[in-house]
Amino acid sequence: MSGSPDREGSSLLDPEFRRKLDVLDLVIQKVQGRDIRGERPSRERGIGTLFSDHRAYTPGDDLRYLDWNVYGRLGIPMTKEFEAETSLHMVLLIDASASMAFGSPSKLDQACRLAAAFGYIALRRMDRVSLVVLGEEAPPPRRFQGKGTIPGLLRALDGIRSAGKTDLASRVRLGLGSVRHAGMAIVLSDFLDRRGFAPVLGELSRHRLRTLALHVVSPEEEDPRVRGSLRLVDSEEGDMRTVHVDRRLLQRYREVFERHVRELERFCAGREIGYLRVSTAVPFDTPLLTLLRRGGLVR
Amino acid sequence: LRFLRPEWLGVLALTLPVIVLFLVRRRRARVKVSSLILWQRVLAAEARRPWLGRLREPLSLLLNLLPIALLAAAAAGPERVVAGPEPVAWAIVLDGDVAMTAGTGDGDSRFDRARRRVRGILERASPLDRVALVLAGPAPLLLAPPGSPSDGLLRALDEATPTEGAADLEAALARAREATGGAPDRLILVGTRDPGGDDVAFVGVGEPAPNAGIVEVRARRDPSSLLTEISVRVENAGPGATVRHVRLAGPAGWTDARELSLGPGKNGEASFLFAPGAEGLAVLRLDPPDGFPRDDRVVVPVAPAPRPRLLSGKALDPFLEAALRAQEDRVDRQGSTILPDGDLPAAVPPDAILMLVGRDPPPELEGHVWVLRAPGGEERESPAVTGWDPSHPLLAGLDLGNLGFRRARPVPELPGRVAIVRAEGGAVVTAEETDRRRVLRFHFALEDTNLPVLAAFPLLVRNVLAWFTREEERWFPAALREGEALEPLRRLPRDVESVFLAGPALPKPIGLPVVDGRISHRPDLRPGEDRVLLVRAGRIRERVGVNRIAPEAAGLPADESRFDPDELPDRSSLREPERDLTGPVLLAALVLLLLEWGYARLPRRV
Repeated sequence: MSGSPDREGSSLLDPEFRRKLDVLDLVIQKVQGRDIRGERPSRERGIGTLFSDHRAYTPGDDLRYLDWNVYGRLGIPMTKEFEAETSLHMVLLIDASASMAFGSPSKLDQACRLAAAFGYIALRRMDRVSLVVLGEEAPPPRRFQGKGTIPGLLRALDGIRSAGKTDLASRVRLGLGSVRHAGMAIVLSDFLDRRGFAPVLGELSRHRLRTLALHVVSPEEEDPRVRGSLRLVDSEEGDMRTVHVDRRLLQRYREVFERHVRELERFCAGREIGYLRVSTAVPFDTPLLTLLRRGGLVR
Repeated sequence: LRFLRPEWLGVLALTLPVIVLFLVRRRRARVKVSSLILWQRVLAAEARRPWLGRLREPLSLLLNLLPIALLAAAAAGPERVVAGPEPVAWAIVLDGDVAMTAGTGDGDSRFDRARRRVRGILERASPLDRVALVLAGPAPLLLAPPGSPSDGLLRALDEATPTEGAADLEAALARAREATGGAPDRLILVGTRDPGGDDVAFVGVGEPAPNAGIVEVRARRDPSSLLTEISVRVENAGPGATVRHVRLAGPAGWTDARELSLGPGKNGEASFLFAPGAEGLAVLRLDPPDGFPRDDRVVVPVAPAPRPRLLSGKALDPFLEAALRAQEDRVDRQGSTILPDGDLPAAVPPDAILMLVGRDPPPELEGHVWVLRAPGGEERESPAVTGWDPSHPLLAGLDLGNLGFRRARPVPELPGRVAIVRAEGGAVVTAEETDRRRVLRFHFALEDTNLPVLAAFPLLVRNVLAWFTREEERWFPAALREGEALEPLRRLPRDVESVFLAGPALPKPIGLPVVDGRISHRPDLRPGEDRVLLVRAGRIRERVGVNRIAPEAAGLPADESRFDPDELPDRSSLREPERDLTGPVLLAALVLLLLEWGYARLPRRV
């Protein structure tokens, strides 16, 4: 079944949510104890002091960076490039397929709150944030930079609606194609893709991004409380399966679910992708703090 | 498996709504999940468990349908077709002969003993068996038809009593064969007499016992003495010689006794001659009694001789008066009356004799009339006696050889009159005898004859009184054996068309048509409380004692059983295999309903 149910819960634009983000930011600053603004090395060529490479001169290039020595020896106009000392470019990839509307609060809600938190922290440090919505009716990727764009980011997150089937790999490919100089990618999804999670995570690895996979699950998925003869309806495809659910079958489902999680976690570990399972039943800041304790999120 | 009421299987149509409801309910249970990806993995694994996973829903539907199907099957009367033990047809004949009432020395009768043997046989029969129980009596009686339940058989056995007559064993055996379809598997006779026959298993309950019984009784009044004579014949049917006393107890306290010594199988007779002081019963009994009391006692109705009154118009001749005075036991002189001269009654009372002198009674006058100097022919001087009829009751025992007349009026032979004494010129003594009246005519005056001085004269007077009272006659036997037909001793008068029997034992009098002086229909007589029946035929009034004299009861053989019931195989434990499945099917349906009811109330999270 496809569709875009209304987002439940409080809006990301509520002052209350902003206060929570502020508190979270303070906590993070206190833990790290230093300002990290603009100190992240970047692969992006640009204006800086460290020579990086030559490239062919293109009309319009600044003649101050023309390497006259090369031109004198080889007669070819070459322009010098330097490594730019630039800020972090964080890409937030949010799965907005119909399955993300499942749960109470929905997995999409939880994903957006987490994305808002990550984006808030990044923008507060003058990093750049790109928002890529992975869905059939998704808006084009948007870029945010600077504290002043925080409200825009929150509005953009608040406006995401779930719809359509999950095809994460193609969506990621499309989304990252328009994002330049990204340094880190955070993908928030339930990874319930009929093609599996390998293509999407492989696509992320192919872009050589530091990637964090946040696996958003709902308690109903972890431990279903259904019983009896039922017709299960897929929220994305609309497919139905008749099944008699009893205690034994539920136990089997839980085993399948745990195996699915372990496989995802193992796959991420094999590709140096950070992984964290996030339940909709816990506050959105809990996983953030967990990541903080691991020391892997912010440097 | 078969059904007694297969139309009830139509209840199975109720399963259709259940199926529809099941399908509707099944469609409603829809649960939305985020994705079926994981569920499909589970179901793929589940698909490898075919018998449970795939059959779960059909089994559930089956469990819903099964109670309905079972209830329908229970209502249709399911029955298992099984083969059980073969039933046996029994025919048991219980000897109900009167001889079965004999005591056995231990306080019980032979019938009681036979009943115990039959009960033992019945207890060995299986409920599957078809048992017919027949009581042998004068006519066989089917006490319990084949197929009667055990308690019904035992109740019929307990209620059976011996009959009051001789048992017709052949008829009873035939009845038993007929009741069981002609050839019973076992035909058992329990009694005292072995009828023989290869197919009859005889169980004897008899043993040698003393038995003497009164087998015949006769009573009559002696015309000469007016005494009642009772003769009894006693038969000794016992195994040994016996000495018995026959004791008589008559009305007005009359008692007498005779001793009889009887060898085995021998008869003896005893007679009593006595004058009953009053009308009543004479009871004869054997002393001491034996085990067969029913033939040890006989009653005979007796009555004193009648004593008619004399009705006369004048004083009787002195010679006749003297002769009548000598016959006071035959004539009631106290009740005799002198009628006014010339005044004749319209009818002579039955207990009276009208004396007339010199004239005939009118033809219409009924009753007994004795006419002296009766009108006749011409008066003759000294007519010689030419003859008399010594066979006539009036002249019984008389010799009239010296009879002579000075004068007389002999009459010629007249129709309706019998010449008793004849002389020259005709009869001088005539008798007219019809059903309505008797007239004795002396066609002479007593003073004109030497008759009063003859020795025969008192005897003639006695004979005349006896002739008038008809005491020489009895139309019916004084005593009959039970079951014996009532038969008149001689032809009844022509005007008697019916004989009526009355008595305490009869709810209403029995009318027996008479044809040509004989009873055309002769019912067996049954005794009443006083064992006496009143027989009425026209003006005949007689009493007949009906006695349970049963000479057939005499034969008491030794116990010669040809069959021991204890050798019968005990089939009492054989039961018909359980065929009716209604109970188990109904129970299964109820159990399933209870299970489903309980399951429906289990907490369910959907």
